[in-house]
Amino acid sequence: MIRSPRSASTPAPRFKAFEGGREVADGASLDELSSKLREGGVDPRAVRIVSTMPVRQVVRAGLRGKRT
Amino acid sequence: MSGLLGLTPTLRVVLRNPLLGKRYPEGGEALAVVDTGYEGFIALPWEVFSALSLDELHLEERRLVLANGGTLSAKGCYGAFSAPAVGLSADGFVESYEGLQEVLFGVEALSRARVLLDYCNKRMTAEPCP
Repeated sequence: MIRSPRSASTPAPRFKAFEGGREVADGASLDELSSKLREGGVDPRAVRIVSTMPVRQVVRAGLRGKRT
Repeated sequence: MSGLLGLTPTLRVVLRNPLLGKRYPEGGEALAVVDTGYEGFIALPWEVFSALSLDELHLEERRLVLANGGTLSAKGCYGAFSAPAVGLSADGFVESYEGLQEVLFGVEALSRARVLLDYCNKRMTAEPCP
């Protein structure tokens, strides 16, 4: 996920924006996607954005405590 | 800059919502706790999440499983961070859940970085993968 041109570890994702089930823009970064939405006159609030690396539905979050 | 706060690893970061042109904090950097028990990307207190106007975007829900077996419901969408002092930046799923009071930096955000926790010398360093 970290943008590093020489990185050979986790591949960088692409992002796609869908409006009413139709793909309206895609980009290699959120900045690129944002530019394309702006060029197309699409409100980012009106789209659903998905990544080529899907969000896992369940992940571990550890457990944080606080001294009382 | 990265470092240890007591024994807790931290990173100074700028959080962004590229889709609506927002950043947090508006000036300077925020202190994020590096939480290797958190498998996600970045988790934010709701106040920070809404300051970035991330709550105005289409939100996805998912479950977070705690070490004690309990679960939390989180809401999130895509956002970005940069840690200028160590040359890291990335886009990923940024989420929030009830009661969170710190900016948490998860292992997904570190997945293309080399992180060294050197408690012998009381320091922490982070850099992009070669």
